[in-house]
Amino acid sequence: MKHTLKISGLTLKHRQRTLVESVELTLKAGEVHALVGASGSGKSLTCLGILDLLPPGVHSSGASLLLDGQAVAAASLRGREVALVLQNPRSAFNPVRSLRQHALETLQARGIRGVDAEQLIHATLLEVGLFDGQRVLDSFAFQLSGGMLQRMMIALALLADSRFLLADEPTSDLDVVAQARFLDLLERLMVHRNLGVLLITHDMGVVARCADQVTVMAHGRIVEQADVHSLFHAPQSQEARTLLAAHHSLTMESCPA
Amino acid sequence: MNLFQIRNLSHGYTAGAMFSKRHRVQVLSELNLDLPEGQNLGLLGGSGSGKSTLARLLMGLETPDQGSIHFNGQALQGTHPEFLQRVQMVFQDALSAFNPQRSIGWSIAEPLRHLAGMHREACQARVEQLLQQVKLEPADIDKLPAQLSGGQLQRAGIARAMAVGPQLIILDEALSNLDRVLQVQILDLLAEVRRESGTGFLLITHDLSLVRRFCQRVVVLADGNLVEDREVTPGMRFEHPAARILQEAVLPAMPGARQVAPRTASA
Repeated sequence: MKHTLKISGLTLKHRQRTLVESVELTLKAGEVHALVGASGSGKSLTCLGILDLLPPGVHSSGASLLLDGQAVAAASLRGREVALVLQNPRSAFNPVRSLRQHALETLQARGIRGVDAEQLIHATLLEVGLFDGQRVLDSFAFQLSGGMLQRMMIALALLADSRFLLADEPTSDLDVVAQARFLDLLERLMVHRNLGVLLITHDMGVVARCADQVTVMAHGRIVEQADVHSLFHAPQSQEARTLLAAHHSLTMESCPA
Repeated sequence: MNLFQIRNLSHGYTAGAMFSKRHRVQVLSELNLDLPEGQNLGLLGGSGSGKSTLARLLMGLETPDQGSIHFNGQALQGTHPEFLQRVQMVFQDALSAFNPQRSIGWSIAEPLRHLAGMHREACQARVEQLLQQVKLEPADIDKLPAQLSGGQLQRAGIARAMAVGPQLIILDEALSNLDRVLQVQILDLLAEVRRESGTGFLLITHDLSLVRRFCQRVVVLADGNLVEDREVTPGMRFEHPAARILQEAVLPAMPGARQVAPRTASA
């Protein structure tokens, strides 16, 4: 059976103001679900809302989470079933702890220690393309590049044995080459580990590259949900058309043939 | 007429902290480049290829180890007002490029006060005109940097660079943090500035699609050397391996079939 994570009725409010209204999303194992929209459309809040990691003053109401049809609490998902990757990896690590300590801490939560832990860490680093494992593990977050840190974030998600990954603008701070390698990795993991991914982005190039399903948000609401081919060939909402127009004006000329 | 003439330029830094072994990192080696007036040149390269170092050398923020930079036929000597009136730069991180305690209008007027010696009323009028040009609201003039979004602030930075009507504006990854819709809007705005005032731009980026949209010529920097130098044409293809990597990393225009193994391969 295909694993699914269904989010429904997610509404987020700050005082009386509604920031995100009745968002419905279904993530499936082995698929990338892209969540797109302009800055300020509520994409990132939705992502944080799913895991109940909202900033102070923002309240969630009426949301239900179904993991393979079973109701679950957000707190029981995060760091276990669902891992989170954010835009700025540098601020996501503890600056006074080495990356080895981060990895060991993650495995401790699963009860894996000692030699087993070391072996698993090294194997996982290889899997995400960090070939200089010893150096990476001895380093602190400020000593590594953004691309390496994003790989390490993914490695931690794999160490937690998460089945779903929420990635909020994971490649926006990377250069195009690091971005392409990161997306390669994501696709590979999706196929080989059957990972289900929610990919938040404002770049329709990233969507074209690796999404299966796309949800478009504007002003805190979902304005369109479609598979990636339908969206690119026949966008229904104004928001999707605006995003695609900007994307095409930069890329159409450069596509071969 | 060449605005900048760069000959055999080499530059590097000393790396390593207090307790580790120090070593020399060579960033640029024996680089030659001519920058004609009024041209939009794209300087393309991956992270760590030396793009920003070249920009800092051109602005006179650093002195090269070896080689020479001539500006309008004269050797470049640090930053002085006559030079800054003709060459301006916009940095990637807009928030740290503004004084957090001063209004946007004050910051944009700074080059007008120091370089053009403009009076208060004239400054005010010019700032209002610039804000309109970069599509910011007249009310933004009194706001603090923290009250604007990243995209709005970057446009304010571009307005500040345009204030004294320079011959060249260097954009060091100045559009990289913006979303696609804003990037296109700003590039169109800058193309208009070039048509109206003849200002040329040096667009430093890792994103070839921006260069294609905006520049007449592109050079590619890899390992401290210029490995490509060509006109931007619709079917342009790079030949050097390092430049091809950058070209192939450009994301597709339309969704295609997956390139990895089919899904049946997984358990």
